[in-house]
Amino acid sequence: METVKVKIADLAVLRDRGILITVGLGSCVGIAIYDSSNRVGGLAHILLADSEQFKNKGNNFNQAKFANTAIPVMVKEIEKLGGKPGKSYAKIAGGSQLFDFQKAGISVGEKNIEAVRNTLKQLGIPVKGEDVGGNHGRTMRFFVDSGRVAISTVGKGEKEI
Amino acid sequence: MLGKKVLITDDTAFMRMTLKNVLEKNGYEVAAEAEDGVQAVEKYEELKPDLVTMDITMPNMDGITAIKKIMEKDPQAKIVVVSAMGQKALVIEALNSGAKDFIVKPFQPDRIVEALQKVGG
Amino acid sequence: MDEHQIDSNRLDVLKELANIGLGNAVTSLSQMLGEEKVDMAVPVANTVPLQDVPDFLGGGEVPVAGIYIQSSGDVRLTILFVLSMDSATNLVSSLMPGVDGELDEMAVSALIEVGNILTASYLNAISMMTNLQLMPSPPEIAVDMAGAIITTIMAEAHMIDDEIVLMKTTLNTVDSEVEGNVLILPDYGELEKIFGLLGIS
Repeated sequence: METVKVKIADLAVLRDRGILITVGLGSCVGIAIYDSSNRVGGLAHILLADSEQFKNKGNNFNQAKFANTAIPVMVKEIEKLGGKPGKSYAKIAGGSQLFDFQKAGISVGEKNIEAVRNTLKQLGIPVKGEDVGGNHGRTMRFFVDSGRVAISTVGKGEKEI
Repeated sequence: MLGKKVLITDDTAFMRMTLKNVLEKNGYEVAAEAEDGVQAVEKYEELKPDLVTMDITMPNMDGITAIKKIMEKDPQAKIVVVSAMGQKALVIEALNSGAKDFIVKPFQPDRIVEALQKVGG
Repeated sequence: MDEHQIDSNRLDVLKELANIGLGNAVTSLSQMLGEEKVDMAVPVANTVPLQDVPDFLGGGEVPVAGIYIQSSGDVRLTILFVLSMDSATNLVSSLMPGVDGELDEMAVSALIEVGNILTASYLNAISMMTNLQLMPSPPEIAVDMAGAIITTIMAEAHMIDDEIVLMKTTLNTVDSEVEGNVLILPDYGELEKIFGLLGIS
């Protein structure tokens, strides 16, 4: 079974079979989108909420970095493989605060979760499962044949969302 | 030297423990421990220790600010800086603010004792 | 200088700064460990694609102890000291003889202090060479997957360019069986300050 590794600021889509996996979601958020009728799934690993904030910084051509750009790009890729956004749902994980200094004010993780929710809402894709927040890193495994998403955390084993 | 009271200031429990061990072994009494500049100023007021060891890099209030505040209330305060930061400008600033000596971590126990004895404990 | 390109001469300078700075840090670590010999690999300075940075630290799901400091002042640098859990417990045992096993509150505090001293030694050395004022933040620690730690730090520091400039070395104690990676990420936009002060145009 094909395993495709999704790195940070990265996304990938598969059809019918295979496992999409992303390791080490800290403040980052992993977004899995699945069209179960056509069995097309995509996984994105975003780093920050909003590309507009970093527009003038140059050196930022990778759209998979930001929630507001990565998700629409991934939806297009899902469509290319025959998936229908209208029939899809999402599962999200991540957005945690690993360090104490993050606890003052709104952390990157929290902003990321919010941006992901907003972008999915705008695209009309409901969130069917989630494991977000807290202070641990997560690994996300997305099984494209079934839509199953498993989240593992250091010291806490694996759970399904 | 016997029984002189010292206020230890450092944000790391490990360092406070290390300093406490060195001081107690050499006949000093640790009157209190402070985790940041705010606590250092408060405890100095409360306990009027004979000597103070002060870290620089701490949350809430850094060591330089704490030194200034303590010196304001008590110009006779005897403060020795114990910090990992040894940059020249910082050492000068600490001494200008009223510190009597500046020890860079990691330190040899002798150095601390020597500094405290020289300062007048 | 085009902000998004960094030539090999400049990388070389960063490498040498890392070498001198970390050499000082290693001396401090050795002193903390009662003058035990600590080896340091020749530092690497490189531009690495953002996506590959986690792998630079060994990637994977295995938990590590990561001690993080950010410098402020004239130049912003992010410094991360990463240890495997075995190395972390060995280091704690060396610092507090008689203590064993569990990473309890005091042990964690000891690790934080190591991070503090290593970083300060590094910054002190750089400061002496460049006359830049570099102030470290109080260190923070997280025990988790290496990738989660480094990406969280980078996101918070907005160090998110497609290409990341970083310096890395590995420290190794001879007796205590402690091996650690030190990763230094300078703020891209501020690199010129360093070069300017060293007389490199």
